[in-house]
Formats: sequence, structure tokens, C-alpha cells
Amino acid sequence: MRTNIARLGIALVGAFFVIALALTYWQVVAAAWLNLDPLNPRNIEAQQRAARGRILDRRGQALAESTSDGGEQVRAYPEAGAAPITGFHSQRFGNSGLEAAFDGALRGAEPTNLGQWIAQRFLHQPPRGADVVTTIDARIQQAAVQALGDQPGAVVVLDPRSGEVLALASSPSFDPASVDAQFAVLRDAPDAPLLNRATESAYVSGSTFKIVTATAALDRGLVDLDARFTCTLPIDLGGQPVDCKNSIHVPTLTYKQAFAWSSNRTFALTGLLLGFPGPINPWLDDHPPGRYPWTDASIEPSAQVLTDYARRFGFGAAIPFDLPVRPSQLKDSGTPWSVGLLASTAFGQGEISVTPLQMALVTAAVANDGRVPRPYLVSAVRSPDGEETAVHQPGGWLAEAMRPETAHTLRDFMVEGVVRGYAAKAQIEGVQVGGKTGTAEVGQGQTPHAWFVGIAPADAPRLAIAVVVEHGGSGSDVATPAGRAVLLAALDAYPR
Amino acid sequence: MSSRGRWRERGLLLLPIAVLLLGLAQLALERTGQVQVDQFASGLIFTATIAAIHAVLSWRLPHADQQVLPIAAMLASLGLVIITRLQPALALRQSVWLVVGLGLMGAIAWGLPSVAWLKRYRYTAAALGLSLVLATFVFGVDPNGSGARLWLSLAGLYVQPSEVLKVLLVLFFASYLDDYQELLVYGGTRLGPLRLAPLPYLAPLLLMVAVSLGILTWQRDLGAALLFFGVFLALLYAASGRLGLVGLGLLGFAAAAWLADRLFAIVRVRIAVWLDPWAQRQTAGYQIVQALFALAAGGVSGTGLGYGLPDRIPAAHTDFAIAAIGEELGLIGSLAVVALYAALVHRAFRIALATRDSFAALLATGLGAVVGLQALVILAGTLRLIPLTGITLPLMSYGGSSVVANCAIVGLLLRVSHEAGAVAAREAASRRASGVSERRRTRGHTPATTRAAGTTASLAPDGSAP
Repeated sequence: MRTNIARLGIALVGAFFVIALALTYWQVVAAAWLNLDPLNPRNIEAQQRAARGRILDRRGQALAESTSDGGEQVRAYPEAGAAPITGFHSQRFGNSGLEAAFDGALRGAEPTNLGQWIAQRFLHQPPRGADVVTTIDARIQQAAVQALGDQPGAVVVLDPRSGEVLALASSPSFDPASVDAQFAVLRDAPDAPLLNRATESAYVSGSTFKIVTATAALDRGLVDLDARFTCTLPIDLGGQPVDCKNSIHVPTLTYKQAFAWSSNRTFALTGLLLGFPGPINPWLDDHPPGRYPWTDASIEPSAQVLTDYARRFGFGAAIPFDLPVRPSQLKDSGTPWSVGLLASTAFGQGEISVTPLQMALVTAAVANDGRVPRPYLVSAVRSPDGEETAVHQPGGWLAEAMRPETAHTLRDFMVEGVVRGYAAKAQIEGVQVGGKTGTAEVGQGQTPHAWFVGIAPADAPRLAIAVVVEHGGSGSDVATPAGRAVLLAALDAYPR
Repeated sequence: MSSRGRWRERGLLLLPIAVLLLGLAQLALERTGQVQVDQFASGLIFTATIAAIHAVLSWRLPHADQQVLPIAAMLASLGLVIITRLQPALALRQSVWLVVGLGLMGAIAWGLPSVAWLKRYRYTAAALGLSLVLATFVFGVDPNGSGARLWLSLAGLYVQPSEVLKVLLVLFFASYLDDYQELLVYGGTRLGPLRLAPLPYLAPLLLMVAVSLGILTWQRDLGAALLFFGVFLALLYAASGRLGLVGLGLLGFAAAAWLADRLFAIVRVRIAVWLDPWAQRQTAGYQIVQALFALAAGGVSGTGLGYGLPDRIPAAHTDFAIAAIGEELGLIGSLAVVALYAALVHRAFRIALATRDSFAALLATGLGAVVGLQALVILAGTLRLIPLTGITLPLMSYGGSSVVANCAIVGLLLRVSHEAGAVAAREAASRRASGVSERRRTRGHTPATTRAAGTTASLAPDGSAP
């Protein structure tokens, strides 16, 4: 009997050994895929427990931060106006804006050194996310939001020398802290508050596009800057009636004045003449020297030049940025160039669709000796133990859109527009401001979009701005004063 | 015995006490950030009771195995820690049940006339156990909502008769098999190469088995039925050594399992969940899936006491204590628990092998097997080696009747161990005395020295013969 008992004992202890093997399997081998299973509540809990990093403005002010509310993390947004930049962070509905783009850094990475590993595994300190440092200045952002007020639209302010975005406002906006409660309402609202109009909405540019047309003409040396011409009579260009808009102010003018007074006929003709040898001034006059040299068939060279210059500014491609940007288009891809289309595109109508950020980059190139800066919103990511990792590599331009001389000339044009032109409402005492207005027609019976783009101070620009007020009406009456208010605040907040 | 007596036990008992107090301190700190005395109530009660039991054992059972109580105390202490973690309100109740259980252990140590005395009352014991289980048919309640009315309510306390029956049946089986042991080994009609079991003599035994299994199955307490049948087969093998009988029993079990699968929906569900819990991860398989998640989350070193999420497992404090331990104390912790159960079984079998009395040997074997099989069944179920059954982890899970029954088992083991040790000590002493007195006579010393020689005879403290 003793033998049997001994055998039974060995069998039982052996069975425990099998149990030990099974435990090892489930706790070590199978753990790899069990821990990732979506039904596992631990992953959600871990996210909740981790202290999410903050989103800061350039001076360290919090744009988004997590506060602990009795163990649970609550995301607060002290600067509600920065909602288009920060986006929202919701366990149920996901993230948007920088909360989405930098989610990995904000959430907190796996421990990278022994100290962090000990802290997390043994001291059970929840992982802390890194802070995202933006280039935004909260004061300028506030000014931009205030300038827009209740009007739908967008404002972009950036430093043309480096591409840092100082303000990015979109209206109507939303309170990111209320997303969990209000998501369905926000998503279905007809005025689309979740849409970032500065980067994701494309509008007809109106006369602000004349900067691109002028760049092409001036950079190719097609214009005699001193010659004057008369522009009073409307003409028909390929079925498109074009008038002189400037005639009530300056019927006889230089090219600079034509820019300042937004002469549609001048720029329509410029666009059509881009493929021809200069100077084009005689053709801009009420009474040209002969028949216009282009035909419907021979419009391609001019169209090519305009397209080429637009592309240099960033049209037609995705602009590299920390947030997704909708590409701007010169025209719909399916439409062939015609005299009428080229003419209307050249003065800012046609099928142009442009984002406010793209217009800010166009303006910035003028301010930056012709080089289009690479725009960026996030300068660095700061880990919890203070280590800063630069996100944006300084230097490097998106493109050289024009020669520096051309840029200087355009700068003068823009100053003229403010001093003696449609952008007069942008004048700031003691500061030389350059600007261009735009009133973008959007169809019969609809109020046009109001545009303003500007640079300040014009002699050594450190600010470039683009403002659009959806269906705001006149660019010079609606968008320009808003732009002026923002520039005023920005000059003060950004002194160098 | 001198205070030197059970010094190994004393030293080893410090570990479960330390583990319990540290565990309670850790949980208190994690929960509230500070340590307050009232959170140690269960720990202090436990410590006091363990000390008392140790004193009783030192006085009444000095020859008993010195490792059994520390192992059981360690399991109970880990159980208290995990219950405090999962359901702090129940920890105090568990510690009170432990007091009752240890009290019963003390009563067995002190009051039981002898192990052989138990043999006389085997029929009484069996009848008592069966009648308690039968009572659940009429008076049974289901306080946990698990679907089976397996509890009796006595003045607000819930008692699970199947746990009591467990011990009483082992007693019955062991005594019966002991009486008919020779018959089992050598008896029975021959049929060619086979030898059939002597059925007429085994009738009462088989009847008892059938009745208890029948009752348990009728009550849907399938885990207990599995356990009892397993213990019966184990004892049958231990007594007879005939694997053929065991094989026959297993065949019968397989047939019964097949029948159960056809008849009982719950068996079908359990087997389906066993084969693929992920197919029913939100419904019937939720419990086992969450338990596996918990084990995986623990990894090797665990998440730390209080830092995991074992409370996501339904009924973690009763059936799935190992998953909670696995999550918070890691593979290290869960392997330690497995090692503790293996060690307890090992000690029980060592005690069985050390005793000369065949009944006591079978009794110890049966008790070791019942604890071991119970632990194995629930562990294997949690780890998806076999389907899940609703039985508890001995000494660790929350459950008063289970704790008391297992404490009784430990008490009986200690009693068997002590008697074996006492017999061995007496024999060694008398051998030495006769050996020394012979030499003393040739040298002309007085017989008084034999007494001195006797008392200094060395004994292995666990009672095994030198």
C-alpha cells in the first residue's frame, strides 16, 4: 500500500507541475496578444490614468491641459479660441487637431530609461505625457478671434522669416471641453464649428490673387513700372466682361496704382499676356496698339506661366504642416484653359479655390524676399523630465517664388495699397503696413467673401496675415479693419 | 515538551503573519495613503489565532509535522490579502471563519480521543454528511445567485454542506477501504486474465458513492461531484493498487460526463466555453476571458498589490482568486501559490507514509488528495485545461464552510502525524533504552541513566522514524 500512496502522491505533485506550466503560458507567452485585445479593460484604464501632456503657446501658456478630478483626468482648454489648433480629446469620439497629430507624444511614451521604468513598474507612477510647445501667441490668437467675432471666417498670422504660425483662428468655433456632451450637435450643426476654416476650407480668393499674377509679370520683367496707362473702359475677354474698378479713383495710373486700386482689367490682361514678350503696358491701355495677340488656341503659354508661379507658391500640392491642409487650386482640374477663364483667374475669380493659410504663405513670400517659408505650428516637444526635442528643423524654404527684387517691388505695391488704395483701413500710425484687399464674388444673389492680406512693418516685415470673412461683403470695409486690429495686437505682442 | 519543541513551526509561521501584515499595509497605503489600525483588524485576529493554535499544538501535538500549519497559514494569509484587495468588507468575515476553523483544528488536536476513534463513527459521519446535503433540497438557498441552491442558512450564516460532506466522506472511504483492503488487493473472482472486484463486499461503498454523486448531480453541484469521484478513485488506487479498477472508474466517469452533456444545458455551456471562450466573450465566456486578461496583465512580476484590475473578474474573490494573485503578484506570486499547494499535498503524503496504522495512512492520503484535487480542479479550470467548475480554492477563496472544512483537514493531518510521531518516538526511546541499559549493565551503572538517555533521544520533529 505504501507504494501506491507514494505513486499517487507523485502523480498529484506532477499535476501541479503541469499547472505551473500552464500558468507560465498564460502569464508570459499568451500575454503578448492578450494584453492587446480590445475587450481588455486595462488599456482604456491606462489611458485614463496617464497624465496627458499639455499643449502650450510659445510663452508657456496652456492651451490644453489635463486636470485630475478625483483620479479621473479631465481635459481643460483655458484658451477656447485656440480650439482649431488644439482640437479636442475625447475617449469616445477620438481626437482632432494637435491632440490627434501629437497624440503619441501627449499620451506618454513607454519608459525609455531605467529611472522611468522603475517609476512606472514599481512606484506605480502613471506615465506622464510630453508637453507640446506651439508657435502660437495666445494674445495674438485672442485678438484674431475677437476680430472675427460672430462672423464666419478665418485668420492666419505668421512670421514670414521663419514660417512660425502666431495665430490660427477659425469661426465659428467650439468649446473642446464640451465635445463629449455635444458631439452629435457639433458634428451636425449647419455652420460646421468643427471645421478648421484656416486650413480646411477653400474660398475664391478675390483680388488678393492679383499678388500671384503680379509676381509672374514682374518676375519675368514684362512690366514697365514707370509707364502710365488709362484704364476706364470695360472689355469682354472670352465672354467674360471685365471692368476697371479703379476708374473712379485713378483713371490713368501706373502698374503700382493698378495693383493698389485692384484694377481687374489690368490684371486680366496681364494674365493673358504672360506668355508674350514685354513690356505689356501698351496693351493695358484703354486703346491698345492693335489686336490682342492671343487667341483661344495660343493661350497655353500664358496659362503655363501663371500655373507655374502659382505652383511655386504652393498651389496644387499638399502644404507640409502640423495639421492637415487642403490643397489650393488654380482651377478645377477638368476645365481646360480658355481666354475667359484665364482672364478671370488672373484678377482673382474663375475657379480659384484657396485656403487662408495658402494666402498667408503667398503674402509671406512677398515679405521674405521671395522665399515661401515652411509653415509650422509646433516648435518642440518637451518630455516630463525637461528634455526638449525640436520638432521643426529651422531653415529651408518651400520654394523660391520670385527674385528678391520682385518681392521688394511687390512690397512697395502693397504699401501703396494701404497708403493710397483700397486697403487704407489697414493704416497704423507709426508703422508702415502693406496690404491687399479682395472681394470674392461667389455667385448671383450671394454676398461675396471679404479678404485682406497684409505685411507689417513693411520695411522689415515680421508679420504676414491673411483674413477672410465668409460672405462678409467688401474686403476693404470688413476684412481690412479686422486685419488691422490683429496686426496691432501682433506688433505689440511680437516685437522682434 | 520544552519550549524548544516546535521551533521550526514557530519560525515558519512568522512568514504568513509578515505577508498578511505587509499586504494589508500595502493595500491601506494604496487606498488611502496612510496606515490606520482599524485596517489591520483581520490581520491581528489572524495573528492571535495562529499563535494560539501554535501553543495548543506545542502542548497537545508536539510530534506533529511542523510544516503543515505554516503552509496552510500562508495560503490562508494570501487569501485574506486578496479578499481584502477585492472585497474589503468580507475580509473580517473571512478572518472570523478562520478563527472558527482554527478553533475546530484546536478541538481536533485537543479533544479527539484518537484517530482510530473516528473509524468507529464512520456510518454516523456518512449519514450526517448526506443528510446535510439532502437538506439543501428542501431548505437550500442561493445567496450568491450562482443558480444552484447549495447553501443552508443558519441564523444568518451560510453553510455549504458539500464542504462538510467532503471531509466526512473521506473518513468513510478511508475506513471502509482499510477494512477491506486485503480483499481489494487479492480478492474477487477471476475471469481469465482479469480479476473482477469483489462487488458484494464493496456494495455499501459503491452505494455511498452513487448516492453522494447522485445528490450532487441533482443539485447541479458538478464541481463537488467531480471532486468526490476523484477522491474516491484516488483512495481506491491507494488501497488496492489496481489501476484496472481506476480505469473502470474513469470509463464510468466519461460515460457520466457524456450523459451529463446530453442532459444538462449547463454542462453543454461549460464545455462550449472551455473550448472557445472568445466566441462567447461577452456572455458565458466573460468570466474566464477576464481571468485570462488578468493573468496576462500580471506578467512575471505582477502589477503590484492594489494596482491591477482584478475586480473586473466576476466572483474573483471566490472562484478566481488565482487570477487576482496572478495579476497583482505576477507569475512569481501564482507559482508560489501552486508550490504551496504542492507542498501541502506532499506533506500530507509524507505523513501518510510515515504512519504504521493503515487507516491513518489512508485517511491522510484521502485528505491530501481532497485538498490537492480541489486545488487542481479549480486551477485547471481557470487555466482552460479543463472546463470550469464551481468550486473554491482551498483556504484562499472566500467561503466559511470551505475554510472550516479545510482547517479540519489540516487538524486531522496534524493528528495523524502526531500519533505516528509519538509511536516512533516511543519505539526509538525504548530501543535506545534497551540498547543503553545493556551496555550500562556491563559497566555497572544504575538504571536511572536510561531515563536520561531516553529523554535525549533525538527525534526528527516531523515524527518520522530516525
